[in-house]
Amino acid sequence: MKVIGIAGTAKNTGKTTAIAALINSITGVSGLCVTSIGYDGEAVDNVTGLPKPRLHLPEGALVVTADSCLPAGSAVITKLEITGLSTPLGRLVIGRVQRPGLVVLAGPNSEKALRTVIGFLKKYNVCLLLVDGALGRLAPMSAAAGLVIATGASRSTDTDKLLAEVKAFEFLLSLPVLPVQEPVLTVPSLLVDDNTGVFLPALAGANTVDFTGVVDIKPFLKITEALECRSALPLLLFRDPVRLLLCGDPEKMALKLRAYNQKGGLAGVRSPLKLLAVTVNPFYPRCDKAGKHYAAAIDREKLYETFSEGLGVPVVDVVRQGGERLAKILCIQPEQTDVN
Amino acid sequence: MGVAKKVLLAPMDPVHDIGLKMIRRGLEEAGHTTWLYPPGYSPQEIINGIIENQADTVLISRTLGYGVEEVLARFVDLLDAAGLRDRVKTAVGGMAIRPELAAELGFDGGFGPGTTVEEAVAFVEGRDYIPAGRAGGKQRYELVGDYSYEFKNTAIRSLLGRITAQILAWAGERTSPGIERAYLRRQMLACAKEGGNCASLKKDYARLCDGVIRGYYETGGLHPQTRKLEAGELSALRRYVEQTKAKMDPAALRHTRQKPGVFVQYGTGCPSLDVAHIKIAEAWGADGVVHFDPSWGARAEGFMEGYLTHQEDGSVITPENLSIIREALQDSTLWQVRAHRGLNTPETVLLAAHTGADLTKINIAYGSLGAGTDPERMTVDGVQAIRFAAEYGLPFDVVTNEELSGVPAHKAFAGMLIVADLAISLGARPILQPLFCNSPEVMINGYMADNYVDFNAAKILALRNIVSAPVWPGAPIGFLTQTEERVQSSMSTGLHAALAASLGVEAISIASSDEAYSGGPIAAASRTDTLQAVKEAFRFFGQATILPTPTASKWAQALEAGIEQVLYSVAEMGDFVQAVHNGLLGGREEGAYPGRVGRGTVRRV
Repeated sequence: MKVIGIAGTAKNTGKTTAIAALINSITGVSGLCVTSIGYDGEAVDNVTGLPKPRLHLPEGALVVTADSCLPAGSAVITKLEITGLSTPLGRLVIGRVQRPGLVVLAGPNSEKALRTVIGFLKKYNVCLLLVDGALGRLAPMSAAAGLVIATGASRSTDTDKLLAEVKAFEFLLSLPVLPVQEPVLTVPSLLVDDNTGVFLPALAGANTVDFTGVVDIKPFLKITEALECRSALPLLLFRDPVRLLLCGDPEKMALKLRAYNQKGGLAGVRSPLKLLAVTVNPFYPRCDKAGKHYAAAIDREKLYETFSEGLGVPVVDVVRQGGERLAKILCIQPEQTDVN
Repeated sequence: MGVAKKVLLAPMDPVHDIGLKMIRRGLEEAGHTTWLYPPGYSPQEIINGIIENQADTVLISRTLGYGVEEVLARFVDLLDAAGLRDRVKTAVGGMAIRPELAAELGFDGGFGPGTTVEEAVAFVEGRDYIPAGRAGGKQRYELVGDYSYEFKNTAIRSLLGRITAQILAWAGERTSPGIERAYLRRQMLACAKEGGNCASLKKDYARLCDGVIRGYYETGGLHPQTRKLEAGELSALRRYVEQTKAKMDPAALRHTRQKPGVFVQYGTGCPSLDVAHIKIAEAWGADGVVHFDPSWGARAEGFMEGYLTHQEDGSVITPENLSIIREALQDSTLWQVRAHRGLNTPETVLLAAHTGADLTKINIAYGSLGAGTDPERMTVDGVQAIRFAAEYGLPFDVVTNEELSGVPAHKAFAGMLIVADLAISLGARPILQPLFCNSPEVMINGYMADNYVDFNAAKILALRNIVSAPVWPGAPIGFLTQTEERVQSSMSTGLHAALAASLGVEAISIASSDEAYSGGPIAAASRTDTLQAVKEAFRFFGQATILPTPTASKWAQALEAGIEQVLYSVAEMGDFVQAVHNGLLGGREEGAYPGRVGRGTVRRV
């Protein structure tokens, strides 16, 4: 089973548009399943009031969604199994589309829940599980094997700034899988500066600093500052790239790790998450003086070209290029989309 | 409560922490440990607090704006990445929070406006939240209550005893086509149930009907204002009912008081539209619904059969129409089928009982004076209708709508009490239905020049002084106080409902906010307007009472004395029907005209 997550750098960056285009372009592929780590289905955005894209699923596709969402779309869905997981909208169930139509998705909302769902799906011969993201959320995507990042003007109207952020993502998502070197100092989640002190004395004897949780950039910089006094730099090991992306400032994190590597250190992950492609969306909601939102856009060509030239991974403008190109990109790397 | 929980409450907002403070108090009262953070902590600081305190639940409050969603989403993401997501339950609350948004943000629960402390505590404890009064789903409202039907006013009891004896003796020697049809209908229903050939019964029935109705049985022709529901329409209606029942979660209208039950009226002419109105009323918390039939139905001898629609001023009574509406009702909904005013009164009670109605409506005085039925016919039929109501255990209200024509309340109440006493003597359970209205009598005498409270309160006080019986003001409350302006109309209904609650009555009937002025079909939004207004009024007053001025007691005494005087006149006359004709229960100068429909149809047995 290929498990591909489509995550965004912000709200309205084009996650659902990308997944909808992808589904349209692979109609006929058997074993498709779709879910969301958030909620897909509203016709208009609950903050901006602007129209939102909807997911239309073909007959035979599976969905993982809250029980109460099954009758909410136009698709006729037969319930196959109740998973035992729950969401604010009810129990999570697996269903099969009997009559094609729009679906409403409210799926697993944590990494563990997504892993549990993947386990459930094994008996249904699912070949491809597409996981739609929510806002800028990333944590549950650790359970996926491949990631598509959606970004665009909704995150920032400054194209260079956008590229800098995604380049940091690209770097962090490409860190190598490295083995542990003894002795190991285990550092759990570090979110505030105050908690850093207890680990500093132990840094001296460690060959690996193993970050098992999430580390905020500020305490992380304190730790690396302490480490850089050493002649032999230890290995910095992170559980997976998602934990790095959630550090609060991925650009600063990427910069620090590059510098660390240049100084002879090494940074890596225990579990990889491959960045498969980046989609770009020039549109963003803008607010007029009366407080009413309307759709605005930045230079589409410039956005696409800047990203294509600046990134090593494929870049897709889904609205202009359609889902076929994205599907092609994802299909040419099937070996990298196996479940962890 | 099960295991005590450790709950961290964090307002991620500079000022909005009131809700969390209330929830904190509820949680501590339930034995849980809590930490309430000051407003404005960052997601990282809150998660650090969860780790340090080993909290197992975190409740966040935040008002929503553009960009706030990302902050909340980041909080959930960090919690997940820190490995805490599966052992820490999360919920977010705030003015714009809905379950859909909570799902999008990744929380386990989302609480918007109207969330109660109990709901939040239930979430923390991992229980399903069942709102107070809704345990096991909405319960049927107990309408009739524990009343002795004892008359406290002995003079009135004595007068009513004389009048009742006279009416029963007189009616016992008489019958009418309405009564004969009712007995035939009973045989027809039994015949249909057994799958027998009912043709000869129908033939006998048709002979007792008016031209148009007889035509239905002889040639299949319909009343010109009706048509049959088509098979597709019927199946769509049944599908609609099934789908609506599946997701029905009725609201609770009452707050801390147990009374009154709230009834709404329907009668669009179309069974499908009726059902839609009923389902809306049920969802918004109505305890019961009242079937309104068209006025010509009261003036025509006999009922047609089949699923009939397209009537304009009420929904045609047929066994099939009543059955399909009964099928559509929630088990908790009380259903009243009115039988009070026309040539089919006994048969309506019979059909109501056979199709599962909970209540009916009978009033001989109003039917004779305000609804156009001949007093002699109305009395004979009314007595038989009461006998059926007693036989089938069907409580009924005795409405006093003749007040709307201009009959003074004390005369209308005298008529109501005569029918109530007849019912008590025949073993039925009457419910007194005074109007809460700005009637012509009130307008002329300025009884509501200052307030709408005193005269309505006086009515209830007077009735309570006379007899121990359930009281159900109607119908609808606030009649002639509402205007075409929806807010005014809803507020008036809500305030009259609050008065009814304060007076401790058993039930009320309410109109929609556009009922008096709709000039056509009633809008669903107007239906919910008044239900919401009543709910809000109940919430506003709670156990607090509305204190009438001393004038209310004075008027109550005057009403009681007036009723006694009228009953004395009727008793002295020794002929109830003649008393009606003579205007003792409301005269022509008061807008009460003895009806002519059905005149000459009563015969001696």
